[in-house]
Amino acid sequence: MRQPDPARLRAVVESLAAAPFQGRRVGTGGGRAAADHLARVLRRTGATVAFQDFAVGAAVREVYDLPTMSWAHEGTRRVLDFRRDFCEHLASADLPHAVTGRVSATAEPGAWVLHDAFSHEAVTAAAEAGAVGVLVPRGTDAAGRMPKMIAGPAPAALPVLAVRTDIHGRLHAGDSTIRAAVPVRPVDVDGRNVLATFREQHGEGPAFLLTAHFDGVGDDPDGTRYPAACDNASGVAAVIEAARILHHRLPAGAGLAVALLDGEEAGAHGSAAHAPTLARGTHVLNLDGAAALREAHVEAGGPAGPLLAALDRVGRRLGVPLRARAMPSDNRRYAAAGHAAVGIGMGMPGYQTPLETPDRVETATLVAAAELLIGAVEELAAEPVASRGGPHSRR
Amino acid sequence: MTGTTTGGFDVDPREALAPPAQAGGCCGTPVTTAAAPPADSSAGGCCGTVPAAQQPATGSGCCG
Repeated sequence: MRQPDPARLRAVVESLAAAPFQGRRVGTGGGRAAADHLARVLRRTGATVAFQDFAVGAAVREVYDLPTMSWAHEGTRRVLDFRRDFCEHLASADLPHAVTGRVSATAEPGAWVLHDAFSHEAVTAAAEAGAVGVLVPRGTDAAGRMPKMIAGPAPAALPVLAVRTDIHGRLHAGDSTIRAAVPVRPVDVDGRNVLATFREQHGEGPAFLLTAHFDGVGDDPDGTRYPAACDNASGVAAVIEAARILHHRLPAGAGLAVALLDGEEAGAHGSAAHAPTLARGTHVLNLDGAAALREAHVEAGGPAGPLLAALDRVGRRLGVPLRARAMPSDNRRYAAAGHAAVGIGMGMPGYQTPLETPDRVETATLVAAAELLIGAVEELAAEPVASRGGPHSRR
Repeated sequence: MTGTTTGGFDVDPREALAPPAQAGGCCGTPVTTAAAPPADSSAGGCCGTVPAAQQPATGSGCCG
């Protein structure tokens, strides 16, 4: 009851990564079903649960049919693999049906033009010259995959394909033609945060908010699954488990809430909607990734000195190395709103690829993440009011 | 995992405390540390902040 339960942690990860939630992209049926599922999980822990709906706008780029690309060179045609050899560039214009063009290093009518990097200006110039599309290089992860993203620069004037760097380099040599389709479009969606109150704050008691985003990048239209077990079912599991335990441990007057956030992958929209509603003086701990413990990356913003000191003490006690690193996630929205906020990341193997499966999530890391959250909150709750950042003041 | 002396920050914890937030970081979130990726909406890749060819194999946060 009072220690993180490995089976309970794993159950949350495995349930969120399951097929019915379809990769949990914001604004999809799978994403909405995941929010409902998490609300049920939180209610079973004894929390009072509410939803917060918010508009994402047209920030999400949806691949609505499978992109295709083939390369003809010296009498042979090679069909390239989506998200291994090429993928949509997030700024690409929609190209629903395949178009064939020769490959050119310069902008010419009817050509797929090779660029060494993306720029709106260069794509616009290629469009004005009558080119059919632009090809830019992109690397892969260690497993040869191109991690899927769903938000990016404003749409460009032409279709843009990101091509594996070595293939892009070979396209420069000799006469080649490319035939490709890039069915991608901006979609206007809404998100839904899941907000759980475990304990109301009273008097000068401290208030704590544990956060993790539950959304993912969504499955591909051919059914390829993106389980998002590490980013961030693992963080969600550790946050829920930490709250379940802290609920029974915190001193009288201490407040405890959980926000499971939607729309992070589309640009941290869930936290942008939630942060302005949060009471002043709340300490925010955001967990993004709890899957592979080598060290925990920590970024703090706002008046988070006492929170960092508490994390340091508990990290030493637990033997968890902490490193000051960029954690560009929902924590930044809370910090920007003036709250003491830390972002913690403990690894995401298979990051935003089909290989981000529950078996990649280390049970020991889930437990360590929950312990780190529990310990930091307890350390801070035990401090005198002045030491933890001044008296709590409600808005 | 308990009882070791290897945990905690390897530097003064205050080094993880960011300067005042600035607009325009990853995914439109404010940049709050010097280590954060630069805002460059023309760079492509995740959220327009990381050049596509340089995206890491594994990552943390919304931009890898």
